[in-house]
Amino acid sequence: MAGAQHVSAALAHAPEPPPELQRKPLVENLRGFGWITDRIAAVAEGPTPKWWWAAFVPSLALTLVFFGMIGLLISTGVGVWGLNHPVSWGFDITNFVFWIGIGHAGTLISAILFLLRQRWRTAVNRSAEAMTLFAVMCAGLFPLIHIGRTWLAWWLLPIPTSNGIWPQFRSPLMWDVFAVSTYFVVSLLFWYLGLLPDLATMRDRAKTRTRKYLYGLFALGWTGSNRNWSNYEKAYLLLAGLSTPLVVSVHSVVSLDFSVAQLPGWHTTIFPPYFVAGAIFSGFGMVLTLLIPVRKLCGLEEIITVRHIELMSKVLLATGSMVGYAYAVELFTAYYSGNPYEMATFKNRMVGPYAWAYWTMITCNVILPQLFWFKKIRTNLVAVFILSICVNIGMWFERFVIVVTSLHRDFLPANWGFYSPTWVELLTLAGSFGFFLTLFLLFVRFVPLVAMAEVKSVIPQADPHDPLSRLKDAVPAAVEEAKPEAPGPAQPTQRLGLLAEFETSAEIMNAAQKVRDAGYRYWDVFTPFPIHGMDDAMGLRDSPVGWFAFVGGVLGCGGGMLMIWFMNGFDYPLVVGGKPLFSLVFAVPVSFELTILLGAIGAVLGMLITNRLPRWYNPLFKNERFRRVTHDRFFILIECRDPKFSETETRKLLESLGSRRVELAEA
Amino acid sequence: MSQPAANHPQPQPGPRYWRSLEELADTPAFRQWLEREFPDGATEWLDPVSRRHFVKIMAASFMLAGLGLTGCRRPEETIYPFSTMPEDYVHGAPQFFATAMPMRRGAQALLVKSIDGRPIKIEGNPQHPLGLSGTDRFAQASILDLYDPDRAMRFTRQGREVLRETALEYLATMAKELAATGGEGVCFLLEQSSSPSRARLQQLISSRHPKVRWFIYEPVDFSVAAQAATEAHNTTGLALFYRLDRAKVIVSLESDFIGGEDDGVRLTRDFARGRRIEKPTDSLNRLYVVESLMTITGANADHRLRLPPSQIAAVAARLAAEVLSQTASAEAAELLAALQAMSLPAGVRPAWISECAKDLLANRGACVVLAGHRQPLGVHLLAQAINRALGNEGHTVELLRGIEPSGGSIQELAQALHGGAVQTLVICGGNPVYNAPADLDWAGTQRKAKTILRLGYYEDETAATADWHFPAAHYLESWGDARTSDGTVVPVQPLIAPLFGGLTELEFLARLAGLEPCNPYQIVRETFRQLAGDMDFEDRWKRFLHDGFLAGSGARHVDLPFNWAKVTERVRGLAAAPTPTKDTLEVVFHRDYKLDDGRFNNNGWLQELPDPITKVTWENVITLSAKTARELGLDVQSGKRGPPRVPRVRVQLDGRQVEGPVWVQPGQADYTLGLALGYGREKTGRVGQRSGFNAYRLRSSKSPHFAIGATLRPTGQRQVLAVTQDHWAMQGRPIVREANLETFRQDPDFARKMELDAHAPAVGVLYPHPHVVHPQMTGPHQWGMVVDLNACVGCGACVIACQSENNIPIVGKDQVARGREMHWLRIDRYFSVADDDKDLAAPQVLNMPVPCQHCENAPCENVCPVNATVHDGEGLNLMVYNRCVGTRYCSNNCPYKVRRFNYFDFNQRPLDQLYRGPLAPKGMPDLAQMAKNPDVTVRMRGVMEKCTYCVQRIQQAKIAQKIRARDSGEVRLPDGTVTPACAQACPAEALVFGDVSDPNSRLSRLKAQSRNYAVLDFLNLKPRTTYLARIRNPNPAMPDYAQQPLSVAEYTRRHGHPTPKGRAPDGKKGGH
Repeated sequence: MAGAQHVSAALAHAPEPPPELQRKPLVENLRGFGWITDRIAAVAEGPTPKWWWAAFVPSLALTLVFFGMIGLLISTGVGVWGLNHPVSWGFDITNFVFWIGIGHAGTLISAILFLLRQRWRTAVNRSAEAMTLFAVMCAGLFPLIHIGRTWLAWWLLPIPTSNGIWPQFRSPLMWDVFAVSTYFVVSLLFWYLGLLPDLATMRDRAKTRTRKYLYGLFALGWTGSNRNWSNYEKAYLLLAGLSTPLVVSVHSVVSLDFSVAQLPGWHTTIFPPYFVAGAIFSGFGMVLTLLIPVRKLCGLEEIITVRHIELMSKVLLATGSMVGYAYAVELFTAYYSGNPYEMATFKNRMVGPYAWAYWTMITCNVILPQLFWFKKIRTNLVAVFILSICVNIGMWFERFVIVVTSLHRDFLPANWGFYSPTWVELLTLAGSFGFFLTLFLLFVRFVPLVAMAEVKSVIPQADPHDPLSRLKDAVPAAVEEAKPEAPGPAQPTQRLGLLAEFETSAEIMNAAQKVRDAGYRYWDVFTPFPIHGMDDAMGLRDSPVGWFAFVGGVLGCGGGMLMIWFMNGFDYPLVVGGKPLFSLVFAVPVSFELTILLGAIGAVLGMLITNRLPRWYNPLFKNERFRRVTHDRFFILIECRDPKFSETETRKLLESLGSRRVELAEA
Repeated sequence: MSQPAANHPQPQPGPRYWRSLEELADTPAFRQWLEREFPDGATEWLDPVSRRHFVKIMAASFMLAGLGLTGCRRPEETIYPFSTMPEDYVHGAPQFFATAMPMRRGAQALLVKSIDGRPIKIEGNPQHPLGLSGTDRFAQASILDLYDPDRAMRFTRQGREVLRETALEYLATMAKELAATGGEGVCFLLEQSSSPSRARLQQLISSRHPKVRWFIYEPVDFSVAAQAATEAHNTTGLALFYRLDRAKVIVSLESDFIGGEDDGVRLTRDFARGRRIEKPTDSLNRLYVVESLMTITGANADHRLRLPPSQIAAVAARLAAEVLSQTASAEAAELLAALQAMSLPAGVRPAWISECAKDLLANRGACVVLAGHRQPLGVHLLAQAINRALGNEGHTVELLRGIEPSGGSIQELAQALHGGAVQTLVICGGNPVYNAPADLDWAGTQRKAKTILRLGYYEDETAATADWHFPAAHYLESWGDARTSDGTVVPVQPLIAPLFGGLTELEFLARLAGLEPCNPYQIVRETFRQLAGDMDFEDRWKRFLHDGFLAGSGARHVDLPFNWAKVTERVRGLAAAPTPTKDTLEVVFHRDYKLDDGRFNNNGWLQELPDPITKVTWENVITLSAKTARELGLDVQSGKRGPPRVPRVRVQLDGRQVEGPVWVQPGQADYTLGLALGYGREKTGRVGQRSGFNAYRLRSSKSPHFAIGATLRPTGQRQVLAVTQDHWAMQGRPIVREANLETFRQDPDFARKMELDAHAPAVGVLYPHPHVVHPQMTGPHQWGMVVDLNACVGCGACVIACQSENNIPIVGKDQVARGREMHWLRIDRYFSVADDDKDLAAPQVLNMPVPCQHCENAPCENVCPVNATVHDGEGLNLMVYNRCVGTRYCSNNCPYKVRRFNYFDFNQRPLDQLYRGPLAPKGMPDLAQMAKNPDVTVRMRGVMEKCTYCVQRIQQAKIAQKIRARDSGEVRLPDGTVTPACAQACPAEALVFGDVSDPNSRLSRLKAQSRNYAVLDFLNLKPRTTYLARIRNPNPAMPDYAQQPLSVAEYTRRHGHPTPKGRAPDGKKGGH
């Protein structure tokens, strides 16, 4: 290993941390920034591998089946499904809840683990978030197509129509509309925000004009400036903070679809936490199912390590046990209620005609995940893969059991019936997997599937205080070294400032402090990833992005309440379910979602505004060397317009800080 | 006004079926009417005849407009514009005309609602002396037959269409021939009829053409009781008229008087009146039923004895013996001796009969014994002997002078045919090729006649074999008359001109015999003149048509001596019948609850109506008892996993066989097979095709009602049945609440001591809103409904009435099997059995009509995201179809599951092509459109629908009241103004609708009864539809007496409380 000598040399200065604090590194084999960037970007840049086609073609075929089935459904009628009286929801809502549940791992990993400073999340959050988006897309389609008159689905939106009637905000389905769409939008923003630096990397690495143009378009002119990073990190933190209650709320709202009803088996207060645990459970199951093959096929074993797999297995163990606990509590509640209708429903689940589904669910969700108590199982990738598939199956059946067994036998035995899916429903379910996989494969192929900037930020070299940060990248970057410039005529006519290049985070940190101390104002630090402490080193004030989010949130909450009062209580009051025309209680879910939605939009807009993005042109893009800023190099730019700027003095200062190269940047 | 219409150019000959209208418009009378500048004053319009005539023309114009639009062509026919509005006629406002639906030996007096000349809804005529506002299923559904696109629409010769004129000319030729030969070789095969006009025509024809021979055939014939009465009283032409409202004890010997016998509407009403109970001190009638099949009557019995039909005679004999031995009449001594010689069938507890007899004896003059039409004459005579002995004659049984049946039997006709004596066979109505006894081989036999003429409503099996076929007019298109069961003469008057130029039976007979006038209107007027006399003829005629009956024409009870010797003689002829076994099964042929004898085979509403007992739709099944099924090795699965798949079996009897699906029927006698008639048609319309098997194939002249010696063999195949209710058990849930009369007397509040709320108080609103009183229902009325479970017999008339009123589509067998039937009102039928009754031998039956309960705290409403179901100020749970997007959440959240979803475009697509989606033809047949109620939206696919309490009727009444109130502001409707279709049709008067905010309304008084309860009240839904608990009245002395109804026993077993027999109630509601 080429870097080994450097490592030992660098470590020689550092005191050994006590063994109990030592953790396995997140990226194995002490890889450097360049290696990480190359390895991850290569998946999206290299020639299309055969396995990808082998997976993509059948997925695409299933996608066509999916949309074919939806076309059949809409043109012919909901009757092509097996639904009936009394089971008027079946596969449709089962699939909806299943996919929404799948979608929960992504945001949980990105948001909650971010807040909990679980640094291992960086290797998996990008793909998990992408998975979330695609799962929510699948999920959102089901309620849309399951209604009898799909072409009128827009009546669920609070927009004025010639009917003069507004949506009815006591309905959990309305809450769903807001929760799911908020969830999709916020997840998309969150995912995109995280993607921004990586898109810049892709832009800077691009070899063709098209790729450069497209990645450049989406990168919004990102340069890795620390002033940007500062706002960016604030926005990211806010989004994480907003997404955390969102994750909890979305599946809670989905669970309210059931628990607001009074059907035995649906009408239960345990549903919100139980559904959230189940969602995380199924989401992690799906992340594992996807990533275990993907890490292998894309050669990312050193980035998505066995340790990652093991940690996620532990999450499965924990959430699986929570779900098992919920099942037990449900049974106990039914028994303890003394309500014969409740008891009959739960008895019917266990011994009725759908008992097989119930026991499939128990086996897959509660019994099998207990195997994760064993480290041998957790670290055995084949076992984890199989178990993760079991979890997916089990969680699908959980939703099926809840939806169908509660409906098929309810209060009056004369209404009892049976439901079995038709081929249309089976193909629609299969098709939704095809659609999901198609999108995921496109993602793998065109978008960096691991957050490069974030992974770079969690390796030891990224920490300026870590002894390893002094380690220079051993592996040469795949990005071409800039050709030596021709002297003389290259002297820019319009000068932007002096651009100094550094190779390690320790150097740049030190340099930033010194430049700050020298009293410069118009200067900035450019890094491939946000460096902890750099804001202080540069003497930056706290980012104002939070105010944008706050204003958005207040608008969302107040506007939501006002909207609901206006629509249901004032403009067109209708007596519904014997309930008051307006009450805070039923306005909470939608207002809550709107708070999150507008708060998140505020955070992202705030980030863009404070960073003056998107910006299609930046004079630094003309600098060939600067392209490595999104890769593995660190830069300081001191602008000419700074009152203290003096080409010679400033150059001297920068060179004294250990810059490898100081050059005059063109404006 | 008349000129433009009269000057229209001669229209091109349009499609065939409009020619009749042209003809109608071309009549001199009509032309004259058109030509007149002013009709002769207002009297013209007071004359119902010409008013109706006008309406007929109007109907025609509307129809032309409707029918002519296909293919984007302007109608080519002349339309007479409505430029002067007749007095009393408001465009779009409904009008009601009195008419009658003739059926066999009687008729139902009806009021038919007509909108813009289209009859659209049928109701009973409450002004008629019988006072029946209810109707039966058949009358309700008969309107669909009028608009049946498959009805006979053309005149045919040898199956080829001929012009109407040609066919009528042929009738004229026939008339000449008839005159020449005196009717030699001409035989008429008619259906039974109570029409005085037909009787008069028959006599007239016979007197002119004395050699004409008449024959009458009814596959389901109720006349045996009348025949017995006639014999027993040594007279002619008697009819029995039961007065069940006067009876305290009713014994039915296989008489399904509620559902399967003649005059069921009235008997049901009277029976239900005897079940009405308000206070614990009220008395109830008691019903004993001895029967083989489980019938609606058996379902309402307090004591039920199941026996093969052949064994019932022995029970009748023992019962008669028990009664006669106590009444000790010298004349009856010989009969008593004969009866005492007869033995009871095995398995019948003598105490059952002796206690039943004691009960009868204790209620002399206030009890009645009825025998069913399937039982032989001897059993009927015994029943009448018992009634005579108990002094019931003149009280609970009246003897009325009826019409003498005039005609031979079909067997005699067959003999005549075989004898070669028949040149011309004229078949008026009926369908003998399909339903004649199998041994007659009718299709072959009738071909012995040279020429066969047929007047028929369908081009059916008989039409296919006839030389000439004439389309018959529907009774709503006909002039005619009839007698109701009490003998009152009622008019049959048309509400619409014959849509396809069909002939009425009267016109057909008159033309065939060359009578003048041959216009049925004139014929009926002439008959009426003879009945009512010449005095004030026009006034009385108008009154007759207006009221729908001839006052005072009803028959009175006649006291007649009883011929005991005749009865004794007949009873001696009742030989002891062999008992059926598993290898010699007894087959029972019964009238179907839906298709009757097959005449309603092409009626979609009736086909899709769940059988009141089996809940099977769209076909007949071979019913047998659980024990019989087990012994025959038949595995009849219930519908626990989708629609039931039952074995198909082959039943053989006397070398003939039929094949059909079996169905285990709780409570059916062992070793009997129930075969419903009316299915398995070979030639019928699109609706009736491929439904069920033809039980007539097994039925012979010798044993038309039941026959022993059948064998049953599985074919090895299974088939899916479309059953609307898969689970017959109530699971110990207090859904239908009931008690025995003694329990009710001890504890009148028993119904409120069941269910969860009985021991845990309803919390109401957990967090009351500080300012708002909710629900905010501030309308002047607060609608509600109560269903008296004691009165409801479960007949299903309400279901059809609802379907007719509310444009509810049928969905076809396949969709019913998938659980997608659309009925807004269903009748849940539960069986409750004792714990040890594994063979379901002695179930108690519970019926519960379930429409939308219109909950004040409607759970469907708050889950609808688009405000498509909301409440109005009068407490109606409204369904806004055009706002509905179809999430179906409302249905999921409805604990009563009364909401129905349009999974397909049932109104727009052919039911056999639903799955082809846009590839299937779209659009409702023109004729089917005419049957729709214009006041009710026709729903499209993807939309939820449900009972509205007939909101259109409420609105109409409110508008009318507002107009009436003018400035007085008195907009509140008087009690009883609005009646939803179900309540109006209910023969048992079990459904009552009204204003709960008016404490004096009939509804409020009923709701104040202690029996009143809400289903699933613990959910705090506050349903506006509540139920009055059922009270059984078993006889404590009977051997099968149970202290609690079986459902209550199961409830107590599972829940361990309520009812005074369990833990004593502590008096306070909500203990722990």
